[in-house]
Amino acid sequence: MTGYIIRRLLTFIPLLWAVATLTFFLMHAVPGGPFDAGDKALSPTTRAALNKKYGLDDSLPRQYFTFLGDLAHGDLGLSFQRARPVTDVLKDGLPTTAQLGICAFVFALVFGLTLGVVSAVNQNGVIDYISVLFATAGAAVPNFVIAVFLVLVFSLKFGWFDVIGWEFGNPRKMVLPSVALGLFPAAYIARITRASMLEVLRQDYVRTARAKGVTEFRLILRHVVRNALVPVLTVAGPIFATLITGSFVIERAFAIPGVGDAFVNAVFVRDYGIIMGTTLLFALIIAILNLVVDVAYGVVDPRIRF
Amino acid sequence: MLTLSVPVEGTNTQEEYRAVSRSKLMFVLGLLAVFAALAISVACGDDDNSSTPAAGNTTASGTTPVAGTPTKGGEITVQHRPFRSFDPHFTAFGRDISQQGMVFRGLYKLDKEDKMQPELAVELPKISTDGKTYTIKMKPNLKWSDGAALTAKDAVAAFQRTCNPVVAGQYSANLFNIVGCEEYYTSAKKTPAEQDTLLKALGVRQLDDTSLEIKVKEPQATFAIQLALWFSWPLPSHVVKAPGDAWPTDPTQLVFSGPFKVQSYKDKDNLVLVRNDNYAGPHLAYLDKITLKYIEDLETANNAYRNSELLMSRANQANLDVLRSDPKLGKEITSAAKSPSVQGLTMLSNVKPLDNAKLRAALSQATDRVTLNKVVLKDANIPTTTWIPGDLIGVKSDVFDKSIGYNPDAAKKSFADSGVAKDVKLTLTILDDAQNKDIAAFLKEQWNKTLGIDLQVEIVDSPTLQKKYEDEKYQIIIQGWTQDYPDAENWVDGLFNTGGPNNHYGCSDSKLDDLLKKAKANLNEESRKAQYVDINKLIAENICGMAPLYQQRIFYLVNPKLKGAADFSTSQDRYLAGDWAVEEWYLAK
Repeated sequence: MTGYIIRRLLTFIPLLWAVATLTFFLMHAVPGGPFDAGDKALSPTTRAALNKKYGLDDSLPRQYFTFLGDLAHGDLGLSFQRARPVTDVLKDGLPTTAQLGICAFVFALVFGLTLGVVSAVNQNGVIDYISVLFATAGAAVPNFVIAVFLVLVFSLKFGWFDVIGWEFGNPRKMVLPSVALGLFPAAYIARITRASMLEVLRQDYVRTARAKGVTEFRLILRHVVRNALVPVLTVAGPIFATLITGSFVIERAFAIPGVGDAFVNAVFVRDYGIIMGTTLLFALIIAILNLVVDVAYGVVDPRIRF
Repeated sequence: MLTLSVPVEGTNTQEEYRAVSRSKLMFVLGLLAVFAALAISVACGDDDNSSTPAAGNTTASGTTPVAGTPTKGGEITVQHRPFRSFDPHFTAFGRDISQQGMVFRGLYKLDKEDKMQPELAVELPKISTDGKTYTIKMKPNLKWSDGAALTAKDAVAAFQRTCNPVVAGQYSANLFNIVGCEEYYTSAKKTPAEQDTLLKALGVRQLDDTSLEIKVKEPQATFAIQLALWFSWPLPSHVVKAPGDAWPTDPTQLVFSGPFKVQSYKDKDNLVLVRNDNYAGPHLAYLDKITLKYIEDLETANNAYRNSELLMSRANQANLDVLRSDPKLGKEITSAAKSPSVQGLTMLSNVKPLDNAKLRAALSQATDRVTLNKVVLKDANIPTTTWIPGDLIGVKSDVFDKSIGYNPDAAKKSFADSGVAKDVKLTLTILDDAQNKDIAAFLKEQWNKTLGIDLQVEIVDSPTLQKKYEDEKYQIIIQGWTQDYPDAENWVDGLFNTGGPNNHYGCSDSKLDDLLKKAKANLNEESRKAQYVDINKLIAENICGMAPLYQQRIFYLVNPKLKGAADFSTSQDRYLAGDWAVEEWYLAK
């Protein structure tokens, strides 16, 4: 397995190079530049001075090789819109985004699993219908609508939570963004869990266990849920990767200073440095999590060999 | 975005599986559901129920404030947007200048009536009889927030920095009348030795610790105002050692000359300001502390305001009707009496078919500005046909209604007189947002109904639009101008001169060029104003690339507890109501 992991890690180098190259040329192909998103148009003199200052008066291939050279030294360049090194922007925003993503993931996992299990053991009952309704609605309603709904009800109506900000350890600021971000994956996990549970519940060994007098509680928790979790594990990796790389909508809706908002905003304002930095970071995170999931398969299912 | 797929579900009856322990199982699963609801606080937090005090719960210190009487003390939280640069000699963004103006101040400032007043200077500048030399005397014993002396050296360094090619300031052109400034600014490709020579030739010098002298190339009526603007604010030269050095990206590493100083900063999250006791203005700031909470989305900010987490926020004008009809917020919504911004139909008037003045007139006359404002823009703005705001030159906003205002019959006649084919192809390029789409739909319908023109609408994002505008690769766009300083000159100079650096609509009129040149050098206020009235008339009646539509107003939500902000709200507001006079903000009981 160690050899497999090393081989996979080595593939990250061409992967990141390909992502960097593609992103670099695509973003430069889009009309407008980092100084075209200001309050006013710039005079030619000012534009020339800015292009010189930031090396944008160099030819594109030269800019590309300069970028690659800097990247090799761990320098992601400067954010044009924030006048700060990109690495600083990422260092400041990533912990918040990751905290939000982890909380949303925990919520999605616990809530989704619970709902899926309850739904399966009550198939075609009222609880099942309610759970399925939730799972469908959760998957269909966009998270910005959910965010607005949660704010209107739980902040403005009941005053239980704050509308803005993120403070780790403060439930007033953590619950609504986490729920708004986690509801969609929770609905997804609930549907997967329910389907998987129903499948397992029909297996012979379940019937055998029941015939041997195992209590229903023990049967569900020890034999059914455990085996039904394998498909959930398959989707958990991509869900986790999606959540911890940030959400433009949720970060903006709750004024959370994460990198998700920075990334999308960077595209709108052509902040080349941030676009490159966040794209590479997200690519790296997703590649690592995919590797983790692949390795986890081998741990869960001994038939898989590397 | 995740792609979802659901495994096939089982269809067997479950009755056989449900046995004796069902009630016990349901109980445990119910507990799990409760656990799920509490998952965030249990798994991610210490659930100590701690919460940040709402902004409204101020912690005023000192004596009990009385409404209407400025009283010292108190902390507030207001909405703002993350700054892009904290360097006043570089930036061009209103949001940046708003925040910088809370902590930095210049030799002069503009008061509520837009009149220049000394701030760090003792008196207004002494101008030589030929109008080319400005001598400025600064107050004695000025200090930066860290206690270091603020001298004429710092004031001179500011000009050296703004004119510096490495800094590449975005408002440096406003100082190009200073001897050597333009030459130095455009010397990026010269050797360091040549640049050094150009720096030494810059027409700004320190006379003594509290005096400096500035030499300009030509007399300019508005040069003194430039000394009150952000790009002229003194440089803390004991922190930024050389004028071309990088500006610290973390504002806590800086020192300040304004009413507040930076206490803490969290990128994209907040900036905390506390009173600067070394501020040399007429009085120290009343408030102890201001937290600027960065919120990009105005709907979120307005909800936070509703929830008492903020004492002031920009209003979301897309929901202006909702805010106005709210029993509470309707009373707390405010806007400056004067508007610093005009939006109009910008037409590329040196390329066919819009090089035809009659066609431009027809489009202007076919546009019902009053209905546009009332219906599409939620009655937020002031319909106008004057480009230069009326208050600057003493005219009314409808002064040119008869010639270029809404008049379907006149529009049809102008269109017929233009000789342009009825099936002329015109494209309006707009920003990708709801308001611009509504405006485009309105114009499309009106121009079709009145002139029979089938207007094409092209929707792009902001950088693409700006690129098209600067490259002059558009036909019609909706854009305008926001003033930098309250003088008619700022509305026309460089914008309507033939080949002007900001003239991207092909306006070229020799009479206009001549008048613009004369007005800029005219030091007589009366005749200068009259010249700008004439300039304004020429721009409007010839529709020299611009058909004004409306004066854009900005709305704010201001809690009645916060005094001084709305009271000082003028066309100088940079982002928040009265943010240029933040020392006047105070809390009432």
